[in-house]
This record gives sequence, C-alpha cells and structure tokens, in this order.
Amino acid sequence: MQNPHEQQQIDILRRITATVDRLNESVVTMNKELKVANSYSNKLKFIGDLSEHYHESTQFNLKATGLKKDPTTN
Amino acid sequence: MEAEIEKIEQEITLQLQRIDGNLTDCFTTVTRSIIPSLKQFSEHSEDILDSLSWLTTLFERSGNVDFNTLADGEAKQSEASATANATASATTNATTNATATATAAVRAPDQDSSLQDPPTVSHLQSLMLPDSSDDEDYLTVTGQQPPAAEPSTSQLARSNKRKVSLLLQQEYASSSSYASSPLRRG
Repeated sequence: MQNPHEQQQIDILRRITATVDRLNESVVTMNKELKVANSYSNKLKFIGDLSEHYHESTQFNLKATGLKKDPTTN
Repeated sequence: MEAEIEKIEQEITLQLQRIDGNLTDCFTTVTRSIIPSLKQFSEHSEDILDSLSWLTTLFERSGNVDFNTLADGEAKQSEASATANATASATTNATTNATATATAAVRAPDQDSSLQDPPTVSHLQSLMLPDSSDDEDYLTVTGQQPPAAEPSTSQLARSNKRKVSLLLQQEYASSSSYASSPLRRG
C-alpha cells in the first residue's frame, strides 16, 4: 500500500512547485534591481577611469613641461 | 521486502521535504535580505552619481563628446568600420575646431592645477592632449575601439589628437618625453 506515501509526496511536490514559482518571481525582481545597480556601477567606473586618466595626463604634462613642483616646497 | 520499500518511501518523502525546506530558505533569503540591500545599494550609488554629475559635464565639454551616445557606441561597435571612410572629410574641419577645443580644455586644468605661469599657446596645445581627446585616448589605451555613434565628433577628436601629438613632437624635439608618455603605455 503505497497510497499514503504517494499522497504525501504529491502534497510536498505541490508545495515545492508553489515555492519555486514565488522564488522565480523574486529572482526576476532581483535581476531587474541588479541591472539598475550594474548600470550605476558602470557609470561610476567610467567616471573613475576618466579622472584617473586625467590625473596621469596632467602629471605627465607637468613633468614634460618642467612645471611640476614638489608639494612640500613653497 | 515490503519493509524495505516502506523504508525507501519514507526516505523519499523525507528528501522531498528537505528539498522544499531548502527552496523556501532560498526564497526567504532572496526576498528578505538581498533585494532590500540591493535597493539600498542602487539608491546610494545613484546619490553618488548625482553628486559626481558635474565631472561628467566637465569631461563632456572638454572632449565635445556625449557620454550617452558614447555608451550606445560601445554597444554597436560594428558600425565603427563605417566611420573610416569619412575620416578624410573630417580633417578639414579639425583645424577650425582645434582652437575651440583648446580654449575649452584650458578651463579644466586651470581649475585644479598648480600652474603659475600663464599658459602659452604651446602649453594650451600640449594640455589639449589629455583633455579634448580624453575619452578617445582612454578607449584606445585600454584596447577598445573608439565609439562611432556620432562619426563626426569621434573623428574630430581623433584628428585633433593626431594634430596635437604632432605639435607635441615638434615642441619637445627630443622625442624622449613623448616616447615615455603614459598614453603610449600598453
């Protein structure tokens, strides 16, 4: 007689499918939020790279033109 | 025999219950912890971006490039080949724009640099190298293709960069300084 076991397993599987449904929806929401956060992070990275590059270029130009001075001297 | 079947059925039920429990744990952790902290992260990073927006306008103006079109161009890099045909026509316009970009670029280093001598024309042109073509320089240095969503601006920037590099070479006749430039790295 496997009926009680089968019935119980069917109930548990029904619970599992419902849980997985809700999990899928929450994962979709999480993906949307992640997209937004990723875009912000990429923009921030771009700004950081720009400023770093600008710093390198100014340092090089100051050294090349001979205008770079020691910050401690006055 | 039947006892073993019974035992196995019970174990099956137990495993199924464990599976259900684990999946509910996943769901609760994602819904309770991950999504709210993600929302907070995006909110804070949005605040940071808003406070740093002045930098984007600064670099946009200094390079005459739009960063929104720049982002689109990175996504559509296949169109970059089409711009190669139009570069010849853009070089004639480069000379008129070179002085405009030079005056625009001087504003940037004057804000935060410690230059005490008034910048001469040669210094203006030498400083134009990092500022006007900053984005294109950055992109070429990192190995990516420069964007081509707006062919005219990118070509102008590239031709400006070429002209300025020529000027640099002329000014620093000993080419050692240009050879050791950070833009030549990589």
